[in-house]
Amino acid sequence: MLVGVLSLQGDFETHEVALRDIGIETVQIRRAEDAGFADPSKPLKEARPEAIKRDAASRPIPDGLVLPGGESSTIDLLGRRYGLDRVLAAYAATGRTLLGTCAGAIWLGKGSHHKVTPLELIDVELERNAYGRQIDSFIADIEIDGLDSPFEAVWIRAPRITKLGPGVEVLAEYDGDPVLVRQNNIWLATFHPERSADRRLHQLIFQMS
Amino acid sequence: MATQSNGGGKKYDFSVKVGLADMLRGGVIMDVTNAEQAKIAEDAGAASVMALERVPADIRKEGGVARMSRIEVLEEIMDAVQVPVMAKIRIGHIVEAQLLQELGVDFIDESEVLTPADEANHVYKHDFRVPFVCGCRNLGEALRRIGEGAAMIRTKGEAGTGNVVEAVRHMRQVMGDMRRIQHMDITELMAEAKNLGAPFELIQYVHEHGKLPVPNFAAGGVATPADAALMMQLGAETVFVGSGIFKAGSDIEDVKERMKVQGKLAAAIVRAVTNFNDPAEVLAAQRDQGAVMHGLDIRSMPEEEKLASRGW
Repeated sequence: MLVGVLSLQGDFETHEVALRDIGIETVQIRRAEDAGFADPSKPLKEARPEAIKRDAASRPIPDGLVLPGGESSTIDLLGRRYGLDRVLAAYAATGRTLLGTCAGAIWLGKGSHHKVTPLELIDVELERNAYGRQIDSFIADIEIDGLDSPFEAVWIRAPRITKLGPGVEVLAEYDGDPVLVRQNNIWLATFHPERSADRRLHQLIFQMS
Repeated sequence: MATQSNGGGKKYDFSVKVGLADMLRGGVIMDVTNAEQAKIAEDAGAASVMALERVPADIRKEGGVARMSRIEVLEEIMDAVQVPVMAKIRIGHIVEAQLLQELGVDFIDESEVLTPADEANHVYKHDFRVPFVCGCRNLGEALRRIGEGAAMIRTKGEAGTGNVVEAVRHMRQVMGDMRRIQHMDITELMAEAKNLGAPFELIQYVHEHGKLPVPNFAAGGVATPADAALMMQLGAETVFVGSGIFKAGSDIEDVKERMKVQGKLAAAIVRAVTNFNDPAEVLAAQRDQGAVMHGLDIRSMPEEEKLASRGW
């Protein structure tokens, strides 16, 4: 299995380490071409899903993508410049697994944010920096559906999930708020599973679903 | 000593501090002196802003004691942007650090750019919940700061000069020291700890991993997109730009026009850092840079004017 990790800015290398630990190959995605996407300049409706094909360099096409934490305004700006918004829409439409953590979740979801225009690929509204500033970042154990013992989760200037559409499954909560949700092939975590030594959540998402 | 009375008492440890530093990787951290500049930086794609009273180039020119920013300016900057806000304190000024933590600043830079408050000791940073970044010229200095609790290290370079030569020297020194230690016989590590004046456990960490236990960023003299990409190629995990952006175009009289030029340069530096290994993209960024600051030749600078020698 090959998973692409959006590597424009943020904690992408830690996700790569987590994925490689469980035997998944990774590729850094900075451009549409890195994701085997031939022509990012085409309008979105023409771009999916058949536009996912091998480019001239015959790069392998990832089976899924991870959007790491970082700064959502930076990721949104750079992602759109390099056509990754279209790539993500096309991947979502072809049923490939997408995981957005923290800033990545903000970009994949919905909501009205300062300097971020979310992609609205999943029916989940988020609020950026909802827990406060860095001194309000924290660690806590959560129960995750599908894992048989608690998972230690780390929230760093994290977003909060404020609204869920129909068909969105809540797999973990903290303090009454959903913190891990899924709608079909798209998963969002408000915390950073890559920062725990525990690899069970990456396994659950990429190897068991 | 410092308080821990925030975060609602929720569990928090050193890894959460390093976590925020890791979130800034591949991004650009820009010095700003007011809310307007902070917005320009955020619009250009800055991953964070560093609030300070005067940019290093002005501190250098005007002299006097450089302290932490005024509180109301910090508050305006924190209200103006959603990216993390860093702020500088004087080396060893425990109370300036306590005030910034109380205010809710996201990262503190214990910085040689400000006038040191303590010429013998740095702040004991493990006492704080807010993470710290500190400057270094070599690996020993980096590991001493990490020993005190720094969650991020940056090169000192020579701030406010627009001359990248010292940042390059410091980054090459740190990377070279690490390569050397990685290949040492285990028997040699204690002698190396003694030579560098660094904690033994951290020398062991570098021997085993070939890198610092916290992110290693570049700062001090970066003025152009090519400078920023150079620091990334030398091993920096992201870049601080100090005077480089908001001293650019300082001869442009029209304020709006000047801000436009500065925003363009800021965006070009972000572009170069993201694509530091792609010469075609760095070329496009460099073409886009517009005005850059006038640089200073460090060789002709008197020793006492060099900021990098503050701290140890």
